[in-house]
Amino acid sequence: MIVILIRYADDRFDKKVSAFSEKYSALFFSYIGSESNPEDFLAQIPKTHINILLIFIQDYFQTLSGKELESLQKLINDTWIYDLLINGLKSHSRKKILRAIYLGGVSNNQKIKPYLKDFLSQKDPLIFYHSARSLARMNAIEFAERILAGASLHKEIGQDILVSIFLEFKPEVCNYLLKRIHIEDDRFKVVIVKILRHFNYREASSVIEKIISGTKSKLLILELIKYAGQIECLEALATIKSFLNNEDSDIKIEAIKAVASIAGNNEVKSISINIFDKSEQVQIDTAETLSELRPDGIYFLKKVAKNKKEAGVATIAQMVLSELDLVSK
Amino acid sequence: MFELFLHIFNYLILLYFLTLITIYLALNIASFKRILAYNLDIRYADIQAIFRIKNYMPVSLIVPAYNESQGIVQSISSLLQLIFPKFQLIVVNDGSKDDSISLLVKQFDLVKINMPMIFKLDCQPILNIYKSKKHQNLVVVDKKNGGKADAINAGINIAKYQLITVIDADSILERDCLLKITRPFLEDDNVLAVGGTIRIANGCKINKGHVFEIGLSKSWLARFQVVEYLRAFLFGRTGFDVINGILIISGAFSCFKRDALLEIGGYRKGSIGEDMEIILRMHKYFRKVNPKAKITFIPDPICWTEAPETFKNLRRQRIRWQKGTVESILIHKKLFMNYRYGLLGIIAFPYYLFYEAMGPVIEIVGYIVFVISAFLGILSYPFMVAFLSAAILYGIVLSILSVVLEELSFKKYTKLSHLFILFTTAVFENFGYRQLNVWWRFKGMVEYLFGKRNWDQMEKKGFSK
Repeated sequence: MIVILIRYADDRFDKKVSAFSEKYSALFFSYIGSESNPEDFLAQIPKTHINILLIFIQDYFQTLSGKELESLQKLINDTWIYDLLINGLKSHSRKKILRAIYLGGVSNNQKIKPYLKDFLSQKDPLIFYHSARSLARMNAIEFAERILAGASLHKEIGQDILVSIFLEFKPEVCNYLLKRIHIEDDRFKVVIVKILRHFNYREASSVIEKIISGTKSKLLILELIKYAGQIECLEALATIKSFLNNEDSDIKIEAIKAVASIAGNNEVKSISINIFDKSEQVQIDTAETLSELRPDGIYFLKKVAKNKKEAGVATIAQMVLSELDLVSK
Repeated sequence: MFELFLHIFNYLILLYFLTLITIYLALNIASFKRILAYNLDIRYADIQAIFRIKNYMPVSLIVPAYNESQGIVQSISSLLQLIFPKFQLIVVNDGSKDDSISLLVKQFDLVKINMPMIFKLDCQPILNIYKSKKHQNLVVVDKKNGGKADAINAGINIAKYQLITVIDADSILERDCLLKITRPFLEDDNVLAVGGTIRIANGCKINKGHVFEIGLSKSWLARFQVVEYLRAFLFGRTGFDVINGILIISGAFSCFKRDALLEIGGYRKGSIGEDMEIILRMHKYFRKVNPKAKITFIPDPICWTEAPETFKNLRRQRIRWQKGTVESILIHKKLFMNYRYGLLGIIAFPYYLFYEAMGPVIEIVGYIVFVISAFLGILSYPFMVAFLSAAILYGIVLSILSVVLEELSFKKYTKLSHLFILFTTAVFENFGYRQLNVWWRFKGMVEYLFGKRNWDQMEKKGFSK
């Protein structure tokens, strides 16, 4: 019964939003991107409809940009809605707090940073999450450390969620993360390397060797190898090559791809040995990598494909070549 | 003496019922906690951004198809649109008697290639392998008929990626299903297989192989199955997942580590319940070697399937499922109360044996004994009424809780009227539908034990537009 009532209330509210949209969207779109005073726009909306207006506009923050986004942000920052936002942040209602955090973040309202900072030490994982995300949207790098520290206290905030938060920052967050990388534990190092990879940040090449040699975490090693491959880090080539003989096939596979990406055709010889690895997956990935290294890789594959002594490996080489054959048809 | 026996039997039935309630309660609590935590994770992690950082394991998607010409082109077209950085789509035409293969050749510009099989799982001879000139990741295998398990094995033999996803040709997948189902493999090296939640597509609006508006069928039979699926997936599987005790992941959508499949020799040919049998075999084989080996489940609704809307088809399906359950349990009986397999051996397997496999028999014998006891005048009527009312009420509460959990988590049914219908269905299914199911399952068990072990193909209406 309670569930039906809640749903009924939600449905009624959705209908109100639709009715609002029908009535005021023309007015809203004439305001968006214009030089009009946001107070004048608000004056045309009954005060009783303000909550609906806030729901109506919240998705537009994600889709609009430039002047249009600015006018939307002014609607929050330069009008009495700002007071509503502050009241929301001070309120005891979780729903109001979350809405205020979200709107403050998307409207890039710098004045709410102290509130968000306090929320980072709250126990509620959703309040922490939204505050961290809003700060990241504002590119408040000075709080990155607190976000990392806060995340370690919330087991609900998994690695993927933390990465998602950091992806909201602008690329310069990488400079800060580079300084932190030596201090953090392996779990956070993984997060940091993922973020560096996302931004294709090249300045961390010097630290790859140091971190990779100091860790036993498979996940971190994999991340660092992928990162080195992506930024084609020549400085790390020797280190990455040493993983071509690693016992773990996942690490070996990533090393093969990274070496190919960094050194290309020059490393066909060192990569090709792995086609005879005991793991079939290593064999397949080596063959696929070699197929992209022309001409030497292809030449090697053709030779292997005819090798009757190594029938299994020959089959894999034939499979990869059969696919290439199709491409050339 | 006979009366004493009846008394004891009645109390045993009561004990049986109380144990069942305790297990369900535990499953409910575990599922609520797990699903709400999962929901938080999936809602706030930007999965597509995460996968853009090339943090994924490529997937070979195997689609066994037999006489699917009616909807195969539509299905393949929609599968090719899945959101995933790297996947190979292997369609295995299992000796179809219709024009599936010529349709595929024409539609996807297929050309014969000389692709050797990488692996050597036993399967019927392959006639031809085709690749698409239009879609580099599409491979079609044309082979002699050997059944679903055989077709999947043929697909595995040419699968080049580490993860294998098996789906039914008529399954409708959510576009981001591969992103979701492969996540557990990235997070835990010990994960061998992952199952996904299946929902009923009857009544939904489907276009070009995608569900674009979720709805409920007008058929009560289909509606009963909606509630039944919610209960089975949201509570049953999620609950058992907490103790690493999942015994079945649906054949309509499942994901495996290819090397694990190869190590146990692939799917068992001729099996009636191949999806349950392979999971039990995996537990049995791998948990001996690695106690941390895990078969898990994601509660996210990522796959939609057509439910039978006629009694005839539903009966066939349920009889087949029951035969599959009994067969798998008998094959892997060594797991029963085997502490080496942890809570799977101590709780999950006995649950399946006593409540899923033998449940219908116990229930039907229970009804008969009730009648005999009443006839002999040794039955306490207030006790009987209280017991039956409690059983029905408990069934209703369980079904309603599963609808509530769906509403609190995924909220797929967006209209208030849907919610109302689901709650009503949760009540009505306990009067007639549940008993009918018990009867069909009983029949399935009897047929299996008396040697009728073939499986009837279900006639599908289809919903491709």
